Amino acid sequence: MGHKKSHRPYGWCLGALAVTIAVFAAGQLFLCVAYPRNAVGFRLEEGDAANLQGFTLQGLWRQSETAMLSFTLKDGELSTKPRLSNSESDTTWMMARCNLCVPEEDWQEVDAAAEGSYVSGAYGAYFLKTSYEGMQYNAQVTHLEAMYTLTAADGTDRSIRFSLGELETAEPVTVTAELYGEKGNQESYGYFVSAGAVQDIDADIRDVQVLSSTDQVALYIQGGNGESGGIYCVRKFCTSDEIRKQVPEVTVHGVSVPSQTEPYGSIEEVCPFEEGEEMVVCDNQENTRLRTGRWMLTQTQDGTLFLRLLDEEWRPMNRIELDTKLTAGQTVTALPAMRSDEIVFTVADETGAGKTVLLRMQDENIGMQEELALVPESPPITAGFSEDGSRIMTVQETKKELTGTVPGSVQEHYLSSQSLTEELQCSAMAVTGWQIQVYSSQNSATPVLTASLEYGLPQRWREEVWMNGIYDSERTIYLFRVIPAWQTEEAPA
Amino acid sequence: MKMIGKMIGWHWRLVWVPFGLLCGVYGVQQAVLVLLSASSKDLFGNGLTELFLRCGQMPLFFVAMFLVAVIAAAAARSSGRAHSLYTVYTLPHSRRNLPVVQFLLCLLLLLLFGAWQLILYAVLYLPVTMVSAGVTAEMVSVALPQGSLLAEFNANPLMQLLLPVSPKGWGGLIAFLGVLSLESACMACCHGIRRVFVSLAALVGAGTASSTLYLWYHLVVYAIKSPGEWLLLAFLAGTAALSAILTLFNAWWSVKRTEAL
Repeated sequence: MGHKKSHRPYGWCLGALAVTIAVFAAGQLFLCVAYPRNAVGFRLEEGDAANLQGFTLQGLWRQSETAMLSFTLKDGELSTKPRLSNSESDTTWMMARCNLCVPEEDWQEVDAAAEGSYVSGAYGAYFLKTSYEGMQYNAQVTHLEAMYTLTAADGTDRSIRFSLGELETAEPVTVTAELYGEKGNQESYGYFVSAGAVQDIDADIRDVQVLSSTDQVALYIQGGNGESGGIYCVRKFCTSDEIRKQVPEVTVHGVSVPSQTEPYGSIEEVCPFEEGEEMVVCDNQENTRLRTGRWMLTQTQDGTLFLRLLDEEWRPMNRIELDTKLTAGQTVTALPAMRSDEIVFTVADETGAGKTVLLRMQDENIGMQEELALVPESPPITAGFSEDGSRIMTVQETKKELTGTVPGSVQEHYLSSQSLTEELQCSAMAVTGWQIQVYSSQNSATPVLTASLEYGLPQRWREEVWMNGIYDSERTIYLFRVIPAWQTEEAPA
Repeated sequence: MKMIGKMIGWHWRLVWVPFGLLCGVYGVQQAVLVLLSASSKDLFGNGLTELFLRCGQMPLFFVAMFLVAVIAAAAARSSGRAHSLYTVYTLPHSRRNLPVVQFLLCLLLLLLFGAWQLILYAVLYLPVTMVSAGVTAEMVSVALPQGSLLAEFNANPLMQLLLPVSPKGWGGLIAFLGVLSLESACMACCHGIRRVFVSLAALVGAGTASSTLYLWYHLVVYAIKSPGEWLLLAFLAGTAALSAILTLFNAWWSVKRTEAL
């Protein structure tokens, strides 16, 4: 034996090399075989999926713009596709483990940044303080100016600035606008001055609303005093860098501000309303960017509802009178639809009771229309016809209470900047899935419930979402929400 | 080529005992620390990956890798009954074979140690999960989810380094092993102050590689991307790159001077 060793001293060496190669190869094989690229999914808990024949539902279960789980429910078969758009998608396969550790504040920013909209502005003097430009001050009384910075979903930020001063609206007009700092900066402030007094950002201002801010900024300006309202589009965009380059700064009362001599936002009326017509609701839901057209509901002074169909440029395509009249106290809410040719909205009174109206459009007119009673406890998040229109599907979120003890170490783990060591008893309602109901609609004055199914996150995922979703900045438990963003099908060729 | 193989085998015989001891000590400390952590109520809720990281196993792994490189280098300087240098002097081969032999030997040992770490991690998964589940049952009314073995492999930055799945990952692993092996060869072939210098470069390189990997993991997972952290990451990456460049220079200088013999 010793003689053999002296002639082949590298025998053991080769053995060690073989073992090493085997271990690494086994590791790679394990990763390749077991990698569950489509394993994160939802489970049918109750009901028979065969009842969903003829329906196609697509949606997103989204934590952020870069981490989402898209799923498709087609003829009862539900498939999911993890979509992690960050560069580490090969290694961070489970978004619920990593990307759920997002502060609540980021959620708000992400949601708003994706869909734009609302808050702050004033007629007359205008006072803004944003985190990226410092203090801005505009003392012009006859003009209305606003700086609008949007952090777009693609990570870039766009800023516009527009003037409404030349519109000569009879009533004092306020502009609502979202103010953001540079990308990633959560600090944003908005104040406005009206009649010489600083007012709060959360004041209820509804005269002007921002309808869209993703592709282009569209505003709804309410009419009044004989003036009709309408939709206006801001036509010129500048990046914040361009604004800095183009606009020379001047000093007003010791504060450096951009000059007002070169307004670089132009605004155009694209859809004038009839006299007395007011917007009730606009389809500016989360899936707006997935749609090719837009719609809004308006009402006349007697409460009659009108459906306005608009093209991508917010120009009018058709105006249809609906057989619904709004009474005092009723509110209308637009819901994301399951198909691009369908429109869903609810009409509810103060108690939440009312109806869900489902329309399928055909050649810019209503092809099918159904109404369902609205249950206040479980309002739908979407609804739609089956392919042949014989049945209706409604989807409600299901919520369940999750309870448990969160030790200080877990809180500390997700909150490295704070040291919380006490155990925390948690109990909170969390969205865990969807209740799907199928109604027959053919030859029936009132749709009849024919099937009820429940899809949801498996128990394991619920707990994981719950545990990983804890973020405690002020010892308040936040749970990450399921945000449905129902994609529409592609338009038929 | 056959002579190189024989020399690797000869040097392997000189280093396998200390290498085996290192593997044994490393494995025992890892098992003890991770299992103790799993049984701690203070660390309840953490999976194998987090326990592994909290126990400092990632820097320890890089320290152990550095020690492997030192052990490999020591083969060429062994004394006592082995007297490798005497054997090397009398072998009919080019003097420049020695750096190649040391490089390949160190590479083999590093790979073997990496494989040992993979086996350890896989073996520890089950007991750690069981211990952790026991603690969970005491503290929480609901059954908390446990990460699967695959999830633990994917979530651990060290396992991501050892089991790369992307070209970038492969490049990182090859660069790390290559540079450390080269440093080991330089340690074996240099004399005097240069050896100290090379050893320090290797230590700094391993340390910065560890820190860079951990910080990158931290930035990706927790999305805390403050400018300061990016600056620190850039600094660490720069230091690691500098260490690699120094190693290449040392390797070139060693071969040029043929200081080995």
